[in-house]
Amino acid sequence: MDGRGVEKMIKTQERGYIWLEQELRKYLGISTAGIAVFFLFLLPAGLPLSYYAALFAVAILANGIWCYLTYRRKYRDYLEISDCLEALETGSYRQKPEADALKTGIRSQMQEQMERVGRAAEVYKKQLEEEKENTKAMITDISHQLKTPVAALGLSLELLGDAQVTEAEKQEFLERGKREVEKLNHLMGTLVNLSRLEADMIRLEPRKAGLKATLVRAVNGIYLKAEEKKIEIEMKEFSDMEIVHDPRWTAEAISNVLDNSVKYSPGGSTISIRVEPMVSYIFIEVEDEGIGIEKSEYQNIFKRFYRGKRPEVEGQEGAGVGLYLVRKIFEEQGGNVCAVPAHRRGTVIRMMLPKKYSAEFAV
Amino acid sequence: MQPILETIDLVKYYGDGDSQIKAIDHTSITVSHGEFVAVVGRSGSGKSTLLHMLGGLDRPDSGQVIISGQDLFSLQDEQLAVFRRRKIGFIFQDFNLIPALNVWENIVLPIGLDGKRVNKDYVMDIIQSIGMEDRLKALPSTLSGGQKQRTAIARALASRPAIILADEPTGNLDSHTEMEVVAMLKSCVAKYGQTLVMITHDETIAQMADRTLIIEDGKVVG
Repeated sequence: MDGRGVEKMIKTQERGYIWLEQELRKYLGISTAGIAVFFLFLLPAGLPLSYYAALFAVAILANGIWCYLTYRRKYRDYLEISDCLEALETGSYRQKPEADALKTGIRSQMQEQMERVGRAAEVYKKQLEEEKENTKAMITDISHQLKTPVAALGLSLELLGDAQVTEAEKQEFLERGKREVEKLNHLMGTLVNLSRLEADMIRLEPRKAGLKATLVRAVNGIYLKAEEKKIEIEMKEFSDMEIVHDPRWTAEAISNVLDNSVKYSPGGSTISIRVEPMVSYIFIEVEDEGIGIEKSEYQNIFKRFYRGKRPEVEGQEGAGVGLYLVRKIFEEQGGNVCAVPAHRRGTVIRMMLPKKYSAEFAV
Repeated sequence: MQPILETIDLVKYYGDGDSQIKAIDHTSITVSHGEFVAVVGRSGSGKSTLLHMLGGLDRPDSGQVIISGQDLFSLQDEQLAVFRRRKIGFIFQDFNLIPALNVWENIVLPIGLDGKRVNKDYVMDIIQSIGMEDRLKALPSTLSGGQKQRTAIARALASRPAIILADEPTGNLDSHTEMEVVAMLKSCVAKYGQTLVMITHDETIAQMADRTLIIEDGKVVG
């Protein structure tokens, strides 16, 4: 192709919206033809020729200008949208001031929608960053939690190796060491569960299953500990229902709650479990007669690694992971967990499962 | 990322001299996109006043409220009304449904007022999430408190505002329904990627939020 042909080709492509131009030509052609036909019918009216010709020319001109201006406006709009979309694609999108969006009309609505798309993209980016930070924080937290029992174990073993220590003392350090290993075991089990859940390695598999069976499973997991403290677990009678949930993990979660209740309840007390169907959720309540939780602490107890400051809590072992895990398990099934004040002393933990499971709830 | 809501040194005083009441006393808060923030305070702590200013329903004596980068009070009244209609969803304690319209009509009213096309699939999805799909033709007078509030929630969600402001949304409901409604509100807000600022006097409800701000005598503490 010769130089001029190439130049011409580049020029036409530069204009971009060739099909808009084609549309313009089409409209121009049709409307001009329409006007011509109209004036053809006007011929027999017998208007003076110059008047007629002038009218015809004006009509054609006005129509031409109108078509062109419409084309120009559309072209500019498309250009703006295209620029916006390209910015979104390349990640260079910046939020623009909203003043135009306060007007009405297609243009401002499109702008508003593009703002939303831009914001959605930023949100995804932020979520990914947050996830990365979350993982880093968890690794730090876990190593911190493990340090104490490992140090205690190390100390016990060191003291065992000391020649100046009596036989009786050696026995004691041995016992201490064993206890620390037990603590470590328990801690590791919880932490492994936690990290797997966070890393999405554990997929909750909700399916239609009987709620009673899940509750029984949960209670079985805590029965022995409760027996030791002579704590009675009472499950209020309810008609069994089939709801969509993951029986294994839901039982695990309820077990965690019961574990807390047993830990912080005095011997001889009662823990009651109630199931109440509401409009959109099934409420599962665990009420104990223990030390209770301050209302101001309700927000904190579900945080990861949070442990209450009270002496009774500090004296017990635990990593502060239990309730965090519980909330996560219920939230991933579209439900939730919260603490509500008990009638007298103690705590009520209310767990909610949705009656209608929706796959999108697994965030 | 730019916060979706920001207040800068907000001040609202009533009266003057000795009898001056500092309803909002130099308050600056930030809310990020997608957050669920609870504002807790007792009666008279200024929380309702704060919410009204956040929603552009009341002008402060000084300070700014910035939503999605727009300074609310630099707008003319009419522009502010349009902005509010598009960008802010409200849920009030007394539901505020239009008695003459049925559930569906109440929900899509704000969209219609804005001259927009109603995306039926999207709105039906919301209605199913809140569980009102079998009462679409019902009038508000035939609904229970919980149902009315669900309708109000759907209405706030349907127009996909930048931020939803809820003023004691469960104040008129019994304690069990309260919990249900808040759990539902929270999961819907998360599902549709909305931001929610909820005023409440009840810490039991506030625990569901991502973050709690405590307001006392017009100042945000903690």
